[in-house]
Amino acid sequence: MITKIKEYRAKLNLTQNELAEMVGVRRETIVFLEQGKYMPSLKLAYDVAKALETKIEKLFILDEEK
Amino acid sequence: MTLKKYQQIKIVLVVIISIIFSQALIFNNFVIPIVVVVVSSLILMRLRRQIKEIVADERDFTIGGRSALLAIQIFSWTAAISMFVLYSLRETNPNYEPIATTLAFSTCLLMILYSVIFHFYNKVK
Repeated sequence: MITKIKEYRAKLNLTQNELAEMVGVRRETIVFLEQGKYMPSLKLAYDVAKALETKIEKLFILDEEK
Repeated sequence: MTLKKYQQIKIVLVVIISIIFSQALIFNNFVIPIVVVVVSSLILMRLRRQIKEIVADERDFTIGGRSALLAIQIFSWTAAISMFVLYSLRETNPNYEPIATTLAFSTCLLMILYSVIFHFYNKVK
């Protein structure tokens, strides 16, 4: 899975810690999400997309869609 | 309260409990350690609610769940095989039989607990 969390986070000048607090997870989870090493739940994916002011499908790209 | 402070308090409590346990073994008193453990657990539960940071999130629960399931499977197989081996060797050493029985009942209890808790979570969520 590829994520564009880092790009959208940079656009909004958010740190990993700030994004983690906004969506209610630990900073380590954001790190794993950005690296594509963790498949989030639908709720978490939705919350992250909402926090980054974008849509889920723009933020998370599954490998089959590459 | 911060997570770091909570962890420091937890370490202090663990040290105190360890000291009390070692003294209890010497003086053959097991009521005080049980009371101390219960009180410490209640204190830690209360303090944990006051932590402002996120202690565990969905990733921790997901990984914890997978780890617990694998641990149960490994323990169950190991206990079952050990139980059969010990039971078959009980005539060489009579002490093997109570150990095998303890392993068998521990595994059964673990399986029952897992089934009950799984059923509960399956219904609730």
